[in-house]
Amino acid sequence: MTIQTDGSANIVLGAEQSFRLLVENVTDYAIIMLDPSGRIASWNPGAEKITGYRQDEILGQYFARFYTPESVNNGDPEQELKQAVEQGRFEYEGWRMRKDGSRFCANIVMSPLRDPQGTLIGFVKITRDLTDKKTDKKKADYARSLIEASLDPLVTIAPDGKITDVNAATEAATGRSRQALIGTDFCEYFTDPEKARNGYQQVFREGQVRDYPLELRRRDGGTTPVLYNASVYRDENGQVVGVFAAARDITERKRAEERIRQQGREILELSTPVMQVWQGVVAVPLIGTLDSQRTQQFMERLLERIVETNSPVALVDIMGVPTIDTQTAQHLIETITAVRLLGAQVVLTGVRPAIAQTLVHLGIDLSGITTRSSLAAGLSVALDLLNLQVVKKSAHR
Amino acid sequence: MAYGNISVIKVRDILLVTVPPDPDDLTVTELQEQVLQAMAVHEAKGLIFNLSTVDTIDSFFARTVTETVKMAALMGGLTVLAGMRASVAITTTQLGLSLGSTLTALDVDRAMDLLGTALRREESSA
Repeated sequence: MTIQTDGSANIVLGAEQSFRLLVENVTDYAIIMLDPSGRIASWNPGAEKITGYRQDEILGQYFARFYTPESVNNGDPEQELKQAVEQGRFEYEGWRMRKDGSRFCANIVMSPLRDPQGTLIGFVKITRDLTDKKTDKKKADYARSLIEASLDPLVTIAPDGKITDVNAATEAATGRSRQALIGTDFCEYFTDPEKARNGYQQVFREGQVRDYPLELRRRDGGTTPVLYNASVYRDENGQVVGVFAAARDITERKRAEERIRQQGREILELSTPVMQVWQGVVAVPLIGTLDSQRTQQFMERLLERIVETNSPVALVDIMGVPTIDTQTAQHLIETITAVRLLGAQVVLTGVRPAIAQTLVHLGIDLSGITTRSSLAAGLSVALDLLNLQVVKKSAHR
Repeated sequence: MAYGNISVIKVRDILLVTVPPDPDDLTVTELQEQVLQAMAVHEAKGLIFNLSTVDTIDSFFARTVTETVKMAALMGGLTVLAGMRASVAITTTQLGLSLGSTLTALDVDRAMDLLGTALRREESSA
């Protein structure tokens, strides 16, 4: 190998030298030459890396060394040589075997080499190990199959707000095909497009958003309430590519919540009937605990009935109140004060031993209020306040 | 005797004061004036404030009424607040407005009864 110079500092290489340099520096591809009978005539670092064979142990060997036993039995090596001779350059993919017996998927390009006269002088074979690619593809297929299997509608949104990808669940949820969806505005498919826009913009700003409520508009015109969990996703350089969003259908949950609210309302309705037990006396049994909401309702009911029936005495029975805490006591006192302003008064009845104990322990002062342990006793007080007397009917007429 | 929409009527030796529906601060102040004037003229022993037409009261109203009750008491008159609406009673309580320990009655009728009883009691102990 002579090294020539062109007068400048550059080294000019002959064609063969250039080729040699090229081949010696390629490590990702096996570039080898075979003689016309298929024996290995040259080797390169790429070939060693891919197959595991060193140059000194492989030169002169028949190239079927790299084929799997099944391929060899099939007569594949000979077929390929024949094909190269007849067709010229061709490319294919197949399984090969390494020195250690492990298999790999290869992309092979085989070309016949001829001299200027056309005589076959050998073959050049370029082999690429596809294993990684196959693994990558397998991984990608695996990931995609998971995405398609998800029951939650998944979608990716570009920074400009357009949908870039969807899964099968999204198609089902919107009633539209993925072709119709991809490239369109994410916001279009919601009853409140502005809110949807604010949602994904928030994700781009803050990195993620949880439980973002939206109403999805289906093709059939119906709507589905959903909660979105979304986050940004990045490329290998860490740059944000878009937003990945998953929707959770909360129709059932909303229904359940509404049922609970309805039941709550019913309970409120049920538990505060204010009954007139005598002219001038109303009575109301309190069942359960008194929270702010119930107190409000209770107070309104009671006071309205007092005015309606013109009753100066109201019996409030707390036998059905399981436990009394400071808050409930405060609410009761508030109610009693309001009743006083009307010009009526409250007699608190049904004070059980446990309640009496709690009230004293809590230091709640009910000294301004008449209290009794039973409704009956309370009624007696009421009649007394009204200057009424119950008299037994006389024996004779 | 009426001034605009405030009415102060003498019934026997009781003054019946009807408060207008949505009294502003000016009206409330005028009310106090009128009541005390009437007290001076008639030397009434009892006053009934008819609140049945009032649908909102604020802290100024509450304060002025309580003051008026005390002033009237100094002039020898016992006051009963009558016919307060349920909604007003609730709002008053929730806002924490106090009307002191003033007597109250469901309506003017009962207020009369109440005054009658209270004044007789006073007389017998005098």
